[in-house]
Amino acid sequence: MPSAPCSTDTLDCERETDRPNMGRETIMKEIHSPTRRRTYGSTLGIIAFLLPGVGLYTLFMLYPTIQSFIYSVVEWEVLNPTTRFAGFGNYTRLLNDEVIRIALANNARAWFLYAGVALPLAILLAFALSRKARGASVFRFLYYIPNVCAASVLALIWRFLLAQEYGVNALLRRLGLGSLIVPWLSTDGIVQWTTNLPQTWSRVGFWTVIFLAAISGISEELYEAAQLDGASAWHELRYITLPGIRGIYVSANVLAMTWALSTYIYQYILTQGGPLYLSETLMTHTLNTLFENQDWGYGSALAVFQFLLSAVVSLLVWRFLRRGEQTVGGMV
Amino acid sequence: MGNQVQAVRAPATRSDSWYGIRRSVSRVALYALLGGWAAMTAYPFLWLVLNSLKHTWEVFQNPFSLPKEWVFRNYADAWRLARVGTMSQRSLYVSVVSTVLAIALASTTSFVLSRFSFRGKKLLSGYLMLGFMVPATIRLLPLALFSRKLGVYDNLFGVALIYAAGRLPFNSFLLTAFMETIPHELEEAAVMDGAGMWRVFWNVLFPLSQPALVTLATFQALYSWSEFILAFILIESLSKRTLAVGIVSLMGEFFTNYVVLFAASVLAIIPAIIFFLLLQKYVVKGMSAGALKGA
Repeated sequence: MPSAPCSTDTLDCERETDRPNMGRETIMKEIHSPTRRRTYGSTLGIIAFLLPGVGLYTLFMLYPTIQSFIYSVVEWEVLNPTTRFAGFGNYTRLLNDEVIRIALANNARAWFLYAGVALPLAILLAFALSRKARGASVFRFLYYIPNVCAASVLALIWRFLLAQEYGVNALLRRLGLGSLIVPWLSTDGIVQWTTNLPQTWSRVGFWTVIFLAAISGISEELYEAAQLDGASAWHELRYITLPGIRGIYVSANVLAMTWALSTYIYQYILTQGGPLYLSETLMTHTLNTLFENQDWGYGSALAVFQFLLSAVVSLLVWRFLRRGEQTVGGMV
Repeated sequence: MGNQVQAVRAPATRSDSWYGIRRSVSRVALYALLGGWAAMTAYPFLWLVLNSLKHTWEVFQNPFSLPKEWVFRNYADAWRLARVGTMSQRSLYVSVVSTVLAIALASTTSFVLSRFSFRGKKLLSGYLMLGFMVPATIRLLPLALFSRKLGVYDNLFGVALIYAAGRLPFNSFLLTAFMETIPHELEEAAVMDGAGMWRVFWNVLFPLSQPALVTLATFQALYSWSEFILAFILIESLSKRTLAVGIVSLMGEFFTNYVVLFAASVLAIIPAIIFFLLLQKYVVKGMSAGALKGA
């Protein structure tokens, strides 16, 4: 088990940076004064305070992550990992896995719906709420509700709404749009989108609250000045709000990418990745390989692949959008 | 100076009536947008509540009308037959234990990170931030295997512990940022009185961090109440399933009697919504405090 890096650290007391050359003993003996703070604490104390948190975090987060890397390259004996190196066969198998291609396309759809639909909609809603709309707090509360509900329960509701005749299809019939009725969860070309739509729906409110907080940090005087100049709502949005929330927009995009790559629960509950793998995502494929097929070596390789892909892609999105910030004035 | 401001704040130069019309048009568009999305958000919930109070046959006949006969018995059935009662007790237990543990782990860690400087501190923060990048899948199989050896497999306390440890990056990030804003004067007074690390932590920093701790606890409790995949993999016995997992397994059992399933779903989400209603200002505060990650 890897030990936490903190355990070997020596400590010095607070404000060490002000007096880098002083030894610990000297600092401990200092007398309290307004400029030199009386200090407290010891190496042992600091280790004792860090040990529960960092220790359990290492045990339940980092250790299993490293284990998965190992599991993906060792031989397995009847559901038990051995210490014998088996080579990178599981990784070359990734290259020939048809389902990964289908799955990545579905993750890309999830990303498209987050970045192309949910984020712009959330910005619009947050802008509207920030323009002193009556009942803004009620709207905000309502929009956020899907984010406090268990996603598995929401998925269950959506399964009934989409799969059965008395959900969305009944609504369409009632509205006189009977010609639009389709089996939403079993039609190729449609199921890939419908399995991603509920999570898009549920996250709009999350981002609305985020953007609303960002907008409330913009000086109200800018808006007042614009209104006196007769600026339209569109101009306010374009020239004040959007530039003002750029930083949060970048973070939201990174988060959208991360979430899109770990999309699974609606697919898992609505269709189990079916029909015929059509709605698999990277994560449902990993879960099915691990726990349905009990192919633990390959499943671990898939999990590692998802982890690395997610890390690399979020880094790239971050870098790309940050660079854009320096060269492009506007946000979109 | 005052005169200058007056001059700048002169009325708009555009024709006033045209300006007024344009603003009221955009006002209408604004409410159409807000109301439209409100309807989209509320629709699945209204559908669920409405149909959870009907007989099964009526769901099929009129999915949108009010129930002809209000079947409150569905809720009694969900509570007993579908075992929502016992499942929510378990979820409550997991939420409370994981929240208490999360507060203990994050407050001790953040105390050190916000109050002391030592070699390798940056490395330690980076090490904790790594946790933001670890997806749930990569931990699942190793956790399922070695939690047996640790004796925390198929164990609700174990799940709560794993929730608390797994959310440490997010929680300590939130709490360290808050503790750094607490001035040093009060703890100095305590140190003058001869307080050691523990007393400074417990009598000064911990109580002063209360607002951030409430935010942390709100997020942790909501997360623990709703978490699916870890609870699904790490809890094997049917008799230990939490609500978020148990409801899904009811799908097969109540497939012909889904009104009970609807009632069970309502019962599963109502506590979270009420909890959020009471503590929403802390959620919003946490999110605006840069809690964007991991929520």
